[in-house]
Amino acid sequence: MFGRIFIYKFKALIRSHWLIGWNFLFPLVLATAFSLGFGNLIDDDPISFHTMDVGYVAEEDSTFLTVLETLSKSTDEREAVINLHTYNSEKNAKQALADKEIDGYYLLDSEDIHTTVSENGIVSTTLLQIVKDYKNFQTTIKNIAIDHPENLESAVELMGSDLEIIKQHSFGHSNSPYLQYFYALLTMTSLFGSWISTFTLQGMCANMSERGKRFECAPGHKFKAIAAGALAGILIQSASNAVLVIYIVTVLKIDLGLNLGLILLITTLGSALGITAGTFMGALLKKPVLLVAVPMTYAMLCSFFSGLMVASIKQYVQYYVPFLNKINPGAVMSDSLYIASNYGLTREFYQDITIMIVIIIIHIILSGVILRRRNYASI
Amino acid sequence: MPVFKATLRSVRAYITTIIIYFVVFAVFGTMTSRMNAGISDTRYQDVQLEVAVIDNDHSDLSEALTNYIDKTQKLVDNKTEDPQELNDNVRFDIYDYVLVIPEGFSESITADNLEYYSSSDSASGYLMTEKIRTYITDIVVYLGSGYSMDEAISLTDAQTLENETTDVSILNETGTKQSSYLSGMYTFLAYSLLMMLSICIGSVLTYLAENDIRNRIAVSGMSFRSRYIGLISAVLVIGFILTISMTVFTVLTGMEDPTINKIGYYILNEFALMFVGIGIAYFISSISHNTNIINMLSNMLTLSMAFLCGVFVPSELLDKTIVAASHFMPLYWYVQATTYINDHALGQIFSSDFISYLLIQLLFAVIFFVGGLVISRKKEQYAI
Repeated sequence: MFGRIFIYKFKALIRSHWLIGWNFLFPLVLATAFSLGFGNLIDDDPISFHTMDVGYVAEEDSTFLTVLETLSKSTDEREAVINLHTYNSEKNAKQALADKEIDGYYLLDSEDIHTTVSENGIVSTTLLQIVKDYKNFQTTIKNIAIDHPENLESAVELMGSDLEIIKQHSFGHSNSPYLQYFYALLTMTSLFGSWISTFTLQGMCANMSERGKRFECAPGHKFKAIAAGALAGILIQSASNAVLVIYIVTVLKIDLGLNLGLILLITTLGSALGITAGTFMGALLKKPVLLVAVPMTYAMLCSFFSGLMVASIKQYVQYYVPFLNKINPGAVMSDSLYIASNYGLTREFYQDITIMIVIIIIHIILSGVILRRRNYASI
Repeated sequence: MPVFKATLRSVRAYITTIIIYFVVFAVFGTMTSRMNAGISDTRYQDVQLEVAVIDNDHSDLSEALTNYIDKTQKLVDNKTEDPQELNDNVRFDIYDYVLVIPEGFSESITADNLEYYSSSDSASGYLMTEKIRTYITDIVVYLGSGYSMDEAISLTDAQTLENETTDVSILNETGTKQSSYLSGMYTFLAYSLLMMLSICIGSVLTYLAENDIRNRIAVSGMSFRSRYIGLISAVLVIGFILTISMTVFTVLTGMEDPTINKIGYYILNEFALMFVGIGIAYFISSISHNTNIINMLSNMLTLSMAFLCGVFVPSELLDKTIVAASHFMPLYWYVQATTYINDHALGQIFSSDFISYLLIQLLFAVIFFVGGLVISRKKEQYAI
């Protein structure tokens, strides 16, 4: 009985065009849109530090120019901070700034260093910081020359040396935060499995369809039938996820930062999550119109909070209401992909996987309780 | 009138969909707009980074460093000390930078003990690190030159404050244009409004195009003209109600926005988008009479356009080729008009540029409508 229902449910599902469209085609279209939209940002993050083009206008050489020349040289650790352009008049520098050839320019006269930038922002602040550092250096030397002239030479030497003061905490390898959109997309696709279940249950519940009435009258084992339907759904949903993952990796050429086997394992678990959630919804809901609206809302809401439309949203939830991220199946699944990709198979990864399994079990138990020996007063 | 009433009544079947998309707009639109809202300024301003400091030293030096960061940047609550979570917070812009001052730092300042978290090799990470390095270098140099710790801190604080007033100007006073709350809401609104219009109106049109219903209307005593006037009026009323309800919500939540005086232009732009939404609805309903397929096509079309035209991800971050291609999508022009309203003073908005953005949207609405008409005719011709 199990095998037969499994085969028929499988056939019914793959012959449902709108369902195949939603679960196979829609994610591919979105993945393409993502890739076209911000695929370039995965390789070149716009917030990364880039060498700034800076103009310099002065009639004669100064120590400030020496500082700028030092900054324009790249080191083993870092690319050059600035790319220096010298101009013989402010008019030329201003024109270059207006033409966006440079990010800003310094004008040195007898009184001060005047900085001109095109707009407020991190580049302008960094350009000004160079001037502040230079002036700071001068003030420090001046103070020491007044109070402790005997130590002036050693102070200059100390300021010129590369003091080891601060270092970045490193986790080794890290992927682009923009990959979160793709993790959320895989999550959304998995949770779309909930539609498959509600569709399957429509033909198994007497209050939903004529087929459901005939099915419930039959002397078959209901749990076996539902399990067979769910398994057919998981198979289709897993196939949909696999197609999507292969499409992203091989056609769109986006490295998800994980090996294929692990992604498929997580997405298959996600498919089971979506399917069992749909079974629970199908068991709970009575109105046929809600069988489409509720799973769709569920999938979209969970996906939004896992970063489908705004990649940082999951982290905002983690910052303000971390508990929500533990009960949102979408956030848990995308988090497992994110953690495995950036930090490896850590304790948090296994915690996410455990939560997914627990949610699946809760869905199965609740669905079983609701569907078991259900009676209808009137159909 | 009967067709008008019937059309309006049939919308009731999609009230759940309307509520869902309205809630999505109300919750997520407000959230993302509040997160990204800023005030445009024509004067130079240093960027203030959001910095979290974890001080495990509690010495005079560590407190002085924290005070310096507090005075020059925006000090925020780190809420966690878990390295992985701190790293995720800087990667996803919860804050820009985390500084960890270890225990015993003041006794071994140059032992490379200070640790920071920033988003890989970000420009903000570089800037903040340079500021901290300069501050600590000053302290180290003063200490090495015979000053006490208190003197070193005092001198460093004084000169840092003095250097904050460095001369700087912005070219042509173009300043910085930041997205206002209203601009953010009206940008996000594009997704929700198009979804609501295309699904609701598309489904209603499909329902009315069912053979049985169409035949019953056709054999009634109503003229062709009055039937279609009723249908078009009803569709416009649905469009107006949905559009106005979103505007009412936006205005109520954005009363304190300093750019609220531009609301008329935002509404004008929104109504142009409404016609695009109705055009898309007609186009999609002509392709299929299955509400599930209408739902799917609406999602595919609207979500893809929203991603490619700068609704969810700003256009300036997108690839140039994609931005060029998005010129062929109506949402691009809607977003352009919204940005135009945000970036210009009230008196400068009504210009040929703004009018052309509205006209292009209306042109797209006509294209979708004509496209739908052609498909419907062909289907009737070949009895598909």
